[in-house]
Amino acid sequence: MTSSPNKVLRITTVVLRVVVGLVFIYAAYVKLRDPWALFAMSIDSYGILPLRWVEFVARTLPWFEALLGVVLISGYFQRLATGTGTLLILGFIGAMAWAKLHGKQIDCGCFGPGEAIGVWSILRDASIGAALLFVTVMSFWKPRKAERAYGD
Amino acid sequence: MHPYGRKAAEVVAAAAQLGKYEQAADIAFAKQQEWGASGKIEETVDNVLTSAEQQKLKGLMQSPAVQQTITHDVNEGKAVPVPGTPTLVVTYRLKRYTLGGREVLKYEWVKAMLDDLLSK
Repeated sequence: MTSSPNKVLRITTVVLRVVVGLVFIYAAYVKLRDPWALFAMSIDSYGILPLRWVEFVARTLPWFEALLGVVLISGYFQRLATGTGTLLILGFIGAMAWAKLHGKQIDCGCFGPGEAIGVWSILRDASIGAALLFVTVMSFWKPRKAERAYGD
Repeated sequence: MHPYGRKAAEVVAAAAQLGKYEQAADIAFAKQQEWGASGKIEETVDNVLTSAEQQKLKGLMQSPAVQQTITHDVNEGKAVPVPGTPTLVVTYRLKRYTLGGREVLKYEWVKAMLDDLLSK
């Protein structure tokens, strides 16, 4: 029973990792079921990337999200997956904040078309980012705890 | 909605009753910057109408037929829903895609999307 705080942390980490993984898979699914150009329009609306890159990102990002989701759920390459996911989410939040600050009335493009960028979409992505950051920290922190527990 | 959007719809729909829809819609589109600021949409469309048609237009604008047409279009727009202008609605194999509104509506993307749909 002495290890219950660690157990709670471990369970929380696994639950968050799986939930975020499912969110990534869902985000990929809603983009992949539609023509890629629809997502390209959303990306292009931000006005950040040149056209060639817009097409590349529109074609590859959903597959990357799907792969990341599967890897997160599987539990393999935890540090790499959670770190990459955190950076990806930070990129999304940055792009949305940039668009909002520049007064752009555009879609977020996060889960397909139809959702305007707003406080809600930024907060939602920030929550996912916070969860991923927590899981990332835990993936680095856990071995040290184990070393301490079994080292004596 | 644009402050003169309703009035513009009434003028063009009334012109349609006179068989001048294309001419009225074309000039309304071409001179949108002007009437969009001044509100003089009626005067703008008058340029493509004869004097007799101009008189008829005033009476037709509030007619039930014109008002019903606009209500029908507004309801159709709300049902999509149309998020802004310009919006393009593509229906393919019972699925509806709403393009534009808040997104950049560029030729490249519309073409790529249609090509993608037709290749499936």
